[in-house]
Parts: sequence; C-alpha cells; structure tokens
Amino acid sequence: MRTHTRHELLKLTEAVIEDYATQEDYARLEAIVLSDPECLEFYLKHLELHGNLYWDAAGRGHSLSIPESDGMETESSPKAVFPQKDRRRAWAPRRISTIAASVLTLLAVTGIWLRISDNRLADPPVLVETDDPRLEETTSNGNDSSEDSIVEVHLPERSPSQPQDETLVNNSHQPQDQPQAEVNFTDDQAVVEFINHQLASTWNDLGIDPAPQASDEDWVRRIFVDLAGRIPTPAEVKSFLSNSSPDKRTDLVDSLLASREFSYNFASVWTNLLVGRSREREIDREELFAYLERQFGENRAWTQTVHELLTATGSAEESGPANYLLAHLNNEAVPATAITARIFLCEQLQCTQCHRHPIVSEWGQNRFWEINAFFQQTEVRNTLITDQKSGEKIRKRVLTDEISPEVEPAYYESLQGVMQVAYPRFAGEDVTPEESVSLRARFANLFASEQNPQLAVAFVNRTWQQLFGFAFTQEVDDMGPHSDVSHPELLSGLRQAFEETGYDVRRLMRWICLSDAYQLSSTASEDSNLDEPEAGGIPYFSRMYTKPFSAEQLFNSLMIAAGVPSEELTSRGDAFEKRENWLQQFFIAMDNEENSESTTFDGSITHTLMMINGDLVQQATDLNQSRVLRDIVVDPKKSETDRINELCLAALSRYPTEPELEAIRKTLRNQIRLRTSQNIPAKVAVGESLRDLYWAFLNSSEFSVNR
Amino acid sequence: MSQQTRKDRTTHAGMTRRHFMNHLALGGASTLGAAHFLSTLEANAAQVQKNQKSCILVWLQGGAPTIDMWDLKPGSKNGGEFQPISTRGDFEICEHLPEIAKEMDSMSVVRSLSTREADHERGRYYMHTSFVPNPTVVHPTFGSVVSYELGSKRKELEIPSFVSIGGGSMSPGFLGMTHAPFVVDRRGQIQNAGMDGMDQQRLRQRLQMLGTIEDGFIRSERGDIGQAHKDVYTKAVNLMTSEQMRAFKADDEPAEVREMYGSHEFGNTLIMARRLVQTGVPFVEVQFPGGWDLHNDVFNTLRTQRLPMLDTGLAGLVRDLKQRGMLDDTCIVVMGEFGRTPRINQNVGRDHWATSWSALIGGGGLAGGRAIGETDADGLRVISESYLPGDLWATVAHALRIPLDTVHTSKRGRPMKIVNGGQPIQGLIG
Repeated sequence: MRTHTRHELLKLTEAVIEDYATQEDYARLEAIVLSDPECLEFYLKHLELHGNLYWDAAGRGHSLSIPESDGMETESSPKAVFPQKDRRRAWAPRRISTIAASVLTLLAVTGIWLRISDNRLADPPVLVETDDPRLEETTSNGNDSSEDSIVEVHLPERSPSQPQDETLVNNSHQPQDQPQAEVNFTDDQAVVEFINHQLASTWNDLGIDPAPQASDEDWVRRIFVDLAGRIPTPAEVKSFLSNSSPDKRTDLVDSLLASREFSYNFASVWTNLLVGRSREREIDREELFAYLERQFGENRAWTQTVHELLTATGSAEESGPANYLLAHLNNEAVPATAITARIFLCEQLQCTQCHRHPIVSEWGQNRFWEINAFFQQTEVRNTLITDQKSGEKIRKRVLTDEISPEVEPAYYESLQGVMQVAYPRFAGEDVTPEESVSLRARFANLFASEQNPQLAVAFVNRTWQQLFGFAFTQEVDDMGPHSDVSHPELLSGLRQAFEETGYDVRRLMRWICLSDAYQLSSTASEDSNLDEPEAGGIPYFSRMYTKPFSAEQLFNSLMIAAGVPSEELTSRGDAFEKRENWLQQFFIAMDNEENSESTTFDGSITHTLMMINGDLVQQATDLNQSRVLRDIVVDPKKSETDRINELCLAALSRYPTEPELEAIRKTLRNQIRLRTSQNIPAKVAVGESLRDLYWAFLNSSEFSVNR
Repeated sequence: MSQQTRKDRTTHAGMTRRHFMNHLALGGASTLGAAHFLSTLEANAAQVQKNQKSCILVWLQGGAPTIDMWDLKPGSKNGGEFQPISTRGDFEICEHLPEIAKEMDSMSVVRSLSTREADHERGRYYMHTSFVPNPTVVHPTFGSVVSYELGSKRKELEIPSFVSIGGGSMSPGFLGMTHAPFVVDRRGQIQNAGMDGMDQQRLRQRLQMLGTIEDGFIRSERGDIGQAHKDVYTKAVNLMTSEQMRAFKADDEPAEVREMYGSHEFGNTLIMARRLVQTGVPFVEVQFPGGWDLHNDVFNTLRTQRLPMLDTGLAGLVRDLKQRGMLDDTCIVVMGEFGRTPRINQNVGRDHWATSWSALIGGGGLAGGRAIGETDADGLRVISESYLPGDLWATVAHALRIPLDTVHTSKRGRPMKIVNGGQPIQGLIG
C-alpha cells in the first residue's frame, strides 16, 4: 500500500467511524478497499480496533452482548466502574452497530471476492445476532435504544506466520531489522544519498515537484537558527553570500556543528524537554543545562547521555544529570515513568497508568508499572548541609538509591479497582535485584542500548522534527502501532545509521542538514497542496516548512539584532540568568503531579505585546543600546538605500527586493517629513524614523519565523 | 499616502481614539471616525451591563473533593469529617461553606457528573473542551467558543473577549489565536501593555511602517501567517490604547466592595472578573489561588484554607452580581478537572475520581436552589441520570443563547458540533 493511499484510507475510515462520511466518501472507500486486499485488511483491522475501543469505553461490553446479569451489576460488586444510566452506554451500542454495519456492508460487497481470493483471509468473518446489516438505516435515525441490533464481529486471528501481517497496522512502528542492507550506513555520503533517494522516490510516485533551492540568504538564516539557535549577524550573512566555494554550505554546517553555540543551543532544547522551562521545581536547572552542554560539546553518544540521566545520583547543585529524576520522582515516580517514555521513546504511556492503552492493545497497564517498578528503589532525600563559608544550614535534595536484594514491586489499581503488582521488566527481560547495582542502573543498561531500538528511532524522529518542523509521525512524541509513519524506510534506515555510528548526534544532524530536502526553499511550488502538513496532511518534505521561533531563538535573535556579540550569548552567569528570567513571563508550571506547564509564547496577545513594547525590542531599537542600529544610523557616509538595506539585513538576513525598497522608501520619507514639519531637526527626524523602520522589521511576521 | 499624511498632520494633536484605531488597520485606508468616540463608548458600556450574556468559570485546579463540598455523605465510611448544613436551596452543603449556603437560591449543584478522565491533563482538556484528547485535532476550550460566537459580535469591546486570570485554561484549538485566552496575573498586571514611553503618534507611525513591510509578506505565498499576524497585532494595539483596560484594576473598587468578596486574593480576582464582564467580556476564567490536588491531609487543608476563601469569594460574587442586576445575564460555573475518591486514603487524602462528582452552576437565568442528580450513599456511583462536560457547557450555551447546533470546522475541514453534542440539563433550564 502506498503511503498516500494508506493516508486517504485512514481519513475515510475515520470519517465513517466519526459519522461524518458523505456518500462520495463511502464510494471512494469502497473503491480503495476493493482494489487491494491489503487495504481491505487494513480497513477491517481499523474498524475492529475502534469497535473494541468504544466497547471498552462503554464499560467493557456491558449489556451489549453480555447478559444482563453481568457481575458488575450484582450486590457483591466492590466498585462500579460506570454509573448505571449513562449516556455513553446507550451511545456506544449505536457506534458499535455503525461500525459493525460498516464492516457488514463492505463484506457483503466483497463476499464474492473473498471466496475466490487466494485464501488471504484464512477464515471468512463470522457474523452473529444481527438484525439489520443495512448501514444507512442504522446510523441515520440515531436510534439509541436499539440494543437488539448489536452484532458481534469475529475477525480472523492474525497468525505470525502469515507474511502479509507484517505490512499491517504496526509495520511502520517497528522498522524491519535489515531494510536497506545494501546501504553502507557508516559512510556519510551514502547516508545523505539514502535520504535523498527515499524522499525523491515519494515525490516521483506522487508527482510532486519539489520546491526550488533556497536562496543563500534564506538558507544561511535557516542553518544559523536551527543549529546555533539565533539569526546570523549581518557580517556572517555577508561573508556567506560572498563566499564562492561550491562546498560553502557543507563548510558552514560543519563549523556550526563544532561551535560552542551548537552545544549551548541543543543543551537548552533538551533541558526544556527534560524538565520544562518553568523554574518552580526544586531543582538546579542550570546544572542540568551545564551537563548537557558538555555532552553535546563533546559529542557524547546519545546512549551515554541517556544512561547517565537515568542513573545519576547526588544533589541538584552538584550533579547535573541527577536533576532529571529529581524533577520527576514525585508521586510514586509516575511522572518519571511517563516522561521517560515520552521524551526518550516518543511514546505516550501516561494513560496506561490507569488503563490499557485505548488503541494499542499490547500496551497494558502492566507495561507502565513494570517500568515504574525500576524507580522503586530511588528516592529524594532532604539533607541539611552546613555551608562552609556562612556556617548556615542549607537544605539539599539528594537523589539516592536504597539498593537491596529485596524487590519492592510497584502496586497499582486496575480500572476494576483490583490491586495489582508489577515487577521490574523491560525489553522482554525480567530483572531481579542485586546486591550492588541499583534497579534503575539495570534499567538503563537495557534502555540505553540496542536492545531498545525505539531509543534510536525516537531520537531520529525528534531530530528530524527539530530541523524540518514536522516529524515522521503526526505528533513527534506519539509513536506506536497506532500512529502512521510517513517514511517508514527512511526512518528505519536513519535509525540503523544512527546505531551503527555509535549514536553520533552530530553526524545525524549533519546528514539531515546536508540532504537535498533541507536545501529547498520554503516557498511552495504550485502543486504544493499535496504537501501540506500544516493542514494536517502527510509531510513529504518537498519544501522547507516554516517554523515559528522558540522563545529561546527569539531571545537570542533579538540580542543579535541589538548587536550583542554572539560570544556573550553563550556565556553563563548573567547572560544565562537574564534569559531565564525573561522566559519566565511566558511559562507557568501547572499545580499538579504530572509536572506539566502552560505557555503564552504561542502568538497570543501576550506574546505580541512583548514584541511591540517589550524590553528586548526596546533595547534593539534604542540608539544608545543597539550597536547595530547606531552603526547604521550614525555613519554619515551611508545613503538612504544603504540604511534600508542594512536594517533589513540585520533583522531578516536578506536585502529587500526592489518593490519592497520602493515602498519602504516612500513611507520612510513621509515619516521624516511629518517629523520635520513638527520642527524636529532633520537629523533627529531621520534617526527616529529609521528606529521605527527597524522596529517594524523586528515586528514583521517574517522576523519571528525560520523558513 | 501623501494625502493621508497631510490629513494626519492637521488632526494628530487632538486625535480621537477611533481615528487612531482606523490608522492601525496596518497600512489600510482610513476614514475619519466619530469625534466623540469615548463618550459613545461609555454609553455602550452602560448598555452592556443590561443585556449582554457572559460566563465566569472558577477553575479548581487539581480536582476538588466535591464529596466534602457539595455532595456530603454523612453516615458513610467515605463521609469524612464535615457535617452538612441547610441552604436557601432545597439541598445541603458543607458546614464550612456558610456564606455561599445563603446564596444557594441563586445557584444549583449538579451531583451526577460522570466523566471518564482522571488524569490531570486529560481531565483539564475534557472538562474545558467537552472532547477527549485526540492527536489529530486540538479542540477549542469553551471560553474560545464563546469568544468566537459572542466576542466577535461585540464591536465596542476593545479588550480580548476571553480572559484567563491567574494562568491556565486551554488552547483555542482550530478557532485560532485571536480567540486564545488572554492570560493575566491575579493582580491584573499586564506586561508590556503600558503606553508610557511611547506616544500614540509614534505607535501609529510604527504600525504604518509595519503595514508597508507586511503588505509585501502577505502578498507572498506564505499565506495565513501574515493574516494571523495582522489580526493579533490589531488586537494587541487595541488593548494598549483602550480605556477598557481599567477593568483589570480591581484595586479601583471601594473598600466595602472588596470586603464583600472577603478581602483576599481570590475575592480580588473575582472582582476583576465582574469588572471584565461589566465591560462586555463574554468569558472570564478564574484560577482559584491554591491547588485542590489533595492527596494528603484533605480535611485540614479544606477547613483552614480552601473552603473559607472559596466561600466568601463566591458569595461576594453572587451578591454583587445580584445587586447590580447582572446575575441573570452572568453564568457562574465552579469546577476542576474531576472530583476525588470517596474512599479516604492512608494519608487522610483523597485521590483522583471522575466516576461520580459535582459542579456548582448558576446565574445567567438558570434555575437556582436545585440539586440535580444523585450519587449513592457512599458517593461511589451515580444513581440518577449522569452528565458529561458537554452537558454542562450545553447548559451554559443555552443560557448565553448560543445555538447548540452551531458547528465549527477544524483545520482539516472536519465539522464539529460545539460541546460535542451535549444537551442542556433540563432541571436547570426548566
């Protein structure tokens, strides 16, 4: 099945399930399903999945096919899971019957085909107790009380020996082991060509014309924002534009990857992912940041970093990596479990804390608690330490383990209120405690290794998303059998390459930055409607997607726009402190045990007011504080055009086009005239009007995006 | 442009606000507005108080133990330490809520919420949007729905039509950033909104310049980024220059009003909410100061901290709205993401519980004094008809006169009914 067919099929199936499919949708669905046995099986599987889901939501099938005397209603039942007269229950059967009826309708149509086909489906579906298999009647009258129209659908069991099973719902999540045996993944050039080939073959299949190459102006800004976390200075842009070497893009990627700013930038990205931006947690964010900066600076293997984050001990102030678990060990390590899975594996396990994953049936509650059990020996101790200088007692939070050969399992309640026990188990291995090694260290050995391929898959997916704005899955951190991967072979190949090069973070970024797709313009070609992930479609990476600046990128870029030397941005102490304080205005820690936070840095009015009136923009547009602005305004040798050009370059890393220049010149002159007419001296009028122009460049929608 | 400039020159000194605003249409053409705009505005504001509908949501973050507040279970092992007292309505509530008990003829309690999300983030999403989280679409929080439906029609409103005091709330989803909650802190201070250091003429010139640059960008192919940018700038500048910003200043109220609300942080935020509603803001969300995620020591915390503040603040709000004749136009909803376990845990706390819990709702013309729905003697299950967040919000939508068959379309073109097809609770609208 082609990716786009799969996507269309998924959309149509969703429309049927959610009850908004049109006649055309049904017709189209029928055509697709009948055209390809794989599609048929996909469709059936999907409906079965949703059927189960609604069934579960309705109280595990209560009163549907199970007789009225079900145990849940009896006196002895300890806890009712759902109240008796619940609309959901009435609603679920209708949905079930809708879904079941959809299956039936299609089966009726495909019945003949099924019989003559080469036994792809080992057993034809068995249908029981159905009154009326006609889809339209069942759905359109919205009759809630039709309990007797319940049907049961038994789909054939999938046996592992059937090869076609591999191509079904979970093919994309677990990349095949040796998908591209012929590619030498330790050869940089070969990996880049592999990426190019994989993307281009989809473009060919779909007839997508990729966007043209990005101009050097656009590209230099892009690579600086992505890797250094800030816009380039005018000097950096000019130097790149005037460089005529054919290798200049490669050279710039290499020099940025080796720079201090790169490690600073990614340390900041990962500090945010690991502990959030808000400073309300009792941890030392800066120590964690410093640790990550070292790891990225020395290009440590990703497995090493993850291992250290999971096993670190010590106090917040003395052990950088310990801050990760110090932040999340609260509430029986539930956040630590969920966040470890979400950040490092891009998997959403938090809902399996209380119940089986609604879509991924193999993710039971036990899976969550088996991981959680590894943290049971770990604790945060509050210790009073006497400060050497002041003699004062200081309270310190210290991460430590109570290592013991006695295992203390994790206890949890199932939805039915039954107490359950989980013992530490990961990647198919049961782990028994030892005398000298902590359970989480044993966990880290399994987790941060090739025994856990999802670690590499997740890192590749995240890195790709950081550089392209979209991941291979719709949500970067919601991978799993239920979520489609846009380019499964590419993801799998990159995973393999990442593993074979020893989890080399910089090399992975280098491959992506040197790929053809990363060189493309963000201006879409005419048939771009095929490639619009912004509107919810599959990303084909046939153009660069515009990415809004993160709060950190905006802060750094405004500093550069004010002429602050880039070295100062990566200095610690005051500069770090200033940025941290500035960020606090946009992030609020939520007062709950999931350690989440909310933000107003999202294009809201609060965000906009900061751009119109905030201190950083004021600084950048103040003649006394902004070196960039002062140099451009004060120099008497510069012409009006020079000044407009250079202000544009300083803010947007490009020169204005002719029509832009013309329009800006006109407005600028009007404003100068208005000022001089109010008896403002000409020199001041020019200076003030240029300040306003620079303000406008910084406030333009172009400034705050990376394209 | 040059003609424009000449006109400006003659009027800028005594420029009226409307005139100013017209210029802010980022480079657009302008016409002269009414000279006495501000007085028109005052007249409008008076009108606002009389018949405009609005809603105040008091959010009890963390999930409040409603079994200890609105639906007590005396005699049950789950009953806890508090005794019920009678109210002016036909039901009893907790003894530590004596003030609001006196106003219960105006408020009702829905005791049969049964919502399945007992995880903070998911519960917060579900109770705000009426939809369970779904990775393919971000549903708008109900405040954004109200902003979209009512806010856009209130032309005289210069401040955002959805204000969230004390942070939190949720995303506007596919309704777009212009309907996002405008988040202010509990003192009503809004960063970067002051006009000091910048006169209006200066701001206007800057925006004109921005308009010149944006016109180039919007015309290029990057489509709606430019339009969204323009919309949010217009809103931000509206706000910076608006007299209505006074609504955020709860301190301007006389001392006796502040006393009425208990003279505490929560009371002050409710005063701000009332001022905003008075100005025409159709949806205000207030984060209760202090979390309700009471896994430990639930009774002490309730008795000494949460309940006294909630009680005096809410009672003040209901009385004040009543005295001003605004209660019939202002819906009040008090809830969090879920209730808490009837069973008391080993830390004398209660854990998350979504199966059977309560919310307080009233005003806006809804019936007061009623207890809707019922839970069993131990509070473990609903034994009457049960309700979902969509039903609560449908009830509010009914009160705000937002038609329930309103359908919004997601970014992927998928039509979605507001409040997820919920139905108004009959006992409240009859």
